[in-house]
Order: sequence, then C-alpha cells, then structure tokens
Amino acid sequence: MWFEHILASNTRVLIGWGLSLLIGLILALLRYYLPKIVQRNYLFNLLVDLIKFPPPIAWIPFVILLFGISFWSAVLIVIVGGMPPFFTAMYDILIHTEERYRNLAATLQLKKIKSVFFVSLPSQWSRIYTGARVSLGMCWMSIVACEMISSQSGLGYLIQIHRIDLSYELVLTDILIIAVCGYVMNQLLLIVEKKHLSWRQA
Amino acid sequence: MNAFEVKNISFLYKDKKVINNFSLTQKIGDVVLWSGPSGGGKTSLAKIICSHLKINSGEIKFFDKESLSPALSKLYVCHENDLFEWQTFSQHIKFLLNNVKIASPLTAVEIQKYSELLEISHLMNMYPSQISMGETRRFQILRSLILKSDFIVFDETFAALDSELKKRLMPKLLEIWKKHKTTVVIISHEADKNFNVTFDQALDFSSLLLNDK
Repeated sequence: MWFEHILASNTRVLIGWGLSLLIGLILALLRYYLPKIVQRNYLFNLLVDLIKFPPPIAWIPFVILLFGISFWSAVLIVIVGGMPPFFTAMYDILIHTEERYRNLAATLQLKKIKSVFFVSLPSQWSRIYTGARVSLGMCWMSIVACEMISSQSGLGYLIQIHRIDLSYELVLTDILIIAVCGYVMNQLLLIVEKKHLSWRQA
Repeated sequence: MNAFEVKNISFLYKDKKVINNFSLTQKIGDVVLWSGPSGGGKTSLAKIICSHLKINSGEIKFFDKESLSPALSKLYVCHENDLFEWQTFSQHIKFLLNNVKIASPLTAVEIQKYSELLEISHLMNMYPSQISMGETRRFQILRSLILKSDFIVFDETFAALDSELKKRLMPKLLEIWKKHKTTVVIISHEADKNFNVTFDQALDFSSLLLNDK
C-alpha cells in the first residue's frame, strides 16, 4: 500500500530536484552574463530577490489553474521550492570568485565561459554541494505540501487520507517514511561529495 | 628598451594613498630584488604593473606600449596558494597546455627536467592540499617557467623555501631567466636577503618612499 506512494513522491522529488539544479545553474549564469549595469540595478535585484520569498505552496492555485492536477504540475511546485536556493548559491559563487583565482584566470587569458567552468565553479565545489543539499531539503518540503493539497498519490496525499481516517499512528508512520527517504538521499549525496572531493582534508 | 615604465603614478586604496607620485623603470632582461618592510606598497605596485589593480593617475608602459589589461606576458606569482586545489599538478599542467595560448610550449621532457631541477618531480600526482608550503612555492615557480611570460613578479615566493634549497636553486633559475631574457622582480621582506646570486639591481623600498606618510 505504501510502495506506490513512496515511489510517486521520490520520482517527483528526484526529477524536480534535478531540474532545479539545472535551471538554477542556467539562471545564475544568465544573471552573471548580464551587463554590469543591470546586475547592479536596484530595481532588477529587488525583483529577483522578492520572487524567492513566497513559499511554493502559495503558487499551487496558479499551477492547478494552468496545468491541472498532474505529474508535471507537482514537479513544477518542487522546482519553485528547490531552484531558488541553488540559484542563489551559484550566483554568489560566480560573483565572489577569490581574487587569486580571478587574477590568474585573467593572466592566462581564459575566455569568460572557460574561467567559469574551469576556475570559478570548481574552486567552490563544497559550496555547490551544500547548495544542492539545501535545495534537496526544499524539494521534499514542497512536494509534501503539494501532495497534501493537489494530488491523488504520494506521501503527502497519504497523510491527508490518514488524517481524515483519524489514524494518527499512520500519519506518524508517513512522516517517518518521508524523513527516512530524505535522509537516505542526503547521505547518498554526502558520499558522492566525499568521493569526488577526495583532495579535501578532513 | 624597458620592460616596464611607470611615471608619476598614484594609487588609492579605500581613500588611503598607497602610492603617491611614483616613477620607476626596469630594463628588459634585468633581474631585480625589491625589499622593504611590508605594507610599503610593493605588492600594490607589482599588481599595478601586471594590470590587476587600476591606478588613479599617472602613466604605465609595458614593453614601450600602453597596456592596461592583464596578459600572459606579465605574470604576478601571488604570495597565496593559487594552485588549483581540485587538480593534481600533472592535471594542472595538462589544463594549462590545453587552454592557454603559449607561443612555443615546453615539451614533456623539458617540463620533467625543470621539475627535477626544482626537486618536485616526485610530487606531480599530489593535490595542493597534500604538499608543504615550500613545495607549493616551487610548483608556482615551475608554472611560471611553463607559461613563459616575458615579465614575472615573484611576491614572497622564495620566502617559504628553506635557505639551503634557495641557495641551490637561485643560480640555476637565474641562468634560465637570463637565457630566455625574462625580466624578473623578486619581492622579499627585509630579513630575507640571502639569495646567493647578484641581482642587476636591488631596490630598498623603505628609502624609496612610495608615499609621503
């Protein structure tokens, strides 16, 4: 009985999270490539920053209105929650590349795109992983909220069903399953990070 | 011909005058020592010549030309560890040879020869976090030889080397620089003057008064 709901939530989170990272990176690059005068424009930054604050759940009425109750509308809600933290981390890395690396990249005459992918980003791998983990947490938060309101499957939906049945012990089980799923994903990411960044000292 | 010529330059850092109305020239191929107490503006001057800092007034010529943007021909070897911590040194060399336009790159044999000279050939597959400060500095020196810049500033690069090694290395490095007509500035703090070579010129910045405090 739980299996299909666990599968449904995990699929949504994984796809939504993957797209969050991809879109977050692309948007950060686009913002970084804007002319300096736009990047420093108060109004532009106000708009970019304001849009990050409403929680994903606030967008559900619009998502249902536009896309109905479907797999992709759930993924969209996950992206609304998971993308901003990764976007913020990526843009921050791009504009705050350490001076020693910035100077070296300039001397080596690397093109902007090369200095982004070969110098700025790799110099901050730890922060990239941290950003990805924060994003993963937001994805789980978003999907459960979304499933509680607008879904016919998933662990959030199950919580609603069990609540209506007044089976609070089952609601607790659902919460525990969500915790375990999130924890396992987080640990797997930590293992990948440790393997990848083997040069880092403990 | 001069490698660089700075004329009446002034440089402010957060409204504080670091360099005030200062002029200096250096001939091509000269190897010069800059010494003096820290905070005297040596590093700022080096970064200005290598176009990492912008001056507030004055004139800079590099190889008799106006030159305001960074270029491979002017290398500033910084006093921090700027090796790529995510690459072993052999990966780093491969990255440089693949992505930097060097006129006539060194062959693998020549690189091997230089790394033996610098006594780091056994460390090529190590990450920067796994080697000592002195070894890091020698990798930065090897990189400067690979990049073949016409003008190189070594900012405190030799300070972290132990004195015996430094005495062994300097004559050999001087020979390489002279052979390739490389113009070199070695920045060193006051206590550290024993290089076992004769410099074309030794400037003491404590008497040069970069700024009139």
